Amino acid sequence: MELILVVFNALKIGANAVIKLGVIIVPLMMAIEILKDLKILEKFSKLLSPLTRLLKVHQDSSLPLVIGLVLGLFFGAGVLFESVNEGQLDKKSLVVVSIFLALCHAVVEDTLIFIPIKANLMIIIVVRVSVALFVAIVASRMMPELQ
Amino acid sequence: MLTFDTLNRGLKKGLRVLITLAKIMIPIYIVTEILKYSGLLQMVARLFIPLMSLLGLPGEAAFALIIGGALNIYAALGVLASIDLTIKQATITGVVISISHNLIGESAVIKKIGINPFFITGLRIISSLLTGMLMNIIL
Repeated sequence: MELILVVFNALKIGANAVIKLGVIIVPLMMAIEILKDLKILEKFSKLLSPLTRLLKVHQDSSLPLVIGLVLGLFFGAGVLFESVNEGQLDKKSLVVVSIFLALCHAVVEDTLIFIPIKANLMIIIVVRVSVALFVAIVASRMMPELQ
Repeated sequence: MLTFDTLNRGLKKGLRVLITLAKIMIPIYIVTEILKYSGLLQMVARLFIPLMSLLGLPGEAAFALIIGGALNIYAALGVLASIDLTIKQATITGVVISISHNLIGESAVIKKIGINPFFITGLRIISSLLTGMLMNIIL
């Protein structure tokens, strides 16, 4: 009898958490579709040149970087894959950008999702980006210029 | 170009994500609650106390990290919903899981672009755990 109560309670609390997240996720997905259709990220990518210089990667890496950071690893990898096939990116840029994006992608969605556990979102996003930058910069410095 | 279709697509995608989230998070939360009720969760969690204490987390948090790594963040959230964490602990957990999650699924993506997925997965696990330990000392 008590077990049924445990399950029922969990269902109630779980459903409540999902609804709370829905209030965030649905508008977020709509905002992301707007970003995609207006091609805002493509325009924004030019502003990322300090990042590509810091990582010592080809300047054309800025588009996969910004797409991956905002939209997620799947989309970032898609753009990366295209750039490689079109021969724009060297092997070193591919590896460094992949390392950065593997550690740090979809930063808005992946951070907001921690609202229900009352984590400090600002710390999560800053630490995650910093760690990814650190690892990618170290990898970049350790790698000889590959062609 | 921005059209009605843009918002419609966003709405549908948002709802789809929400359904996926509910389908993963709620069952995992229920199972965790049952395991907690039976005392099994606390029993197995004791094995993880040495490792988790390095991160300043309770032994139970190990389940969230493992399930998040094997499945995804939604699944980890299902486990986390039944664990009591302080703000510091929740933030450390958030950082570790946000760096290291969905390792199998995302490895497939990494492999597709021609990078060794084991190398990337190792890098994610090691850097997330080291970051968690460092945060436990600093915060």
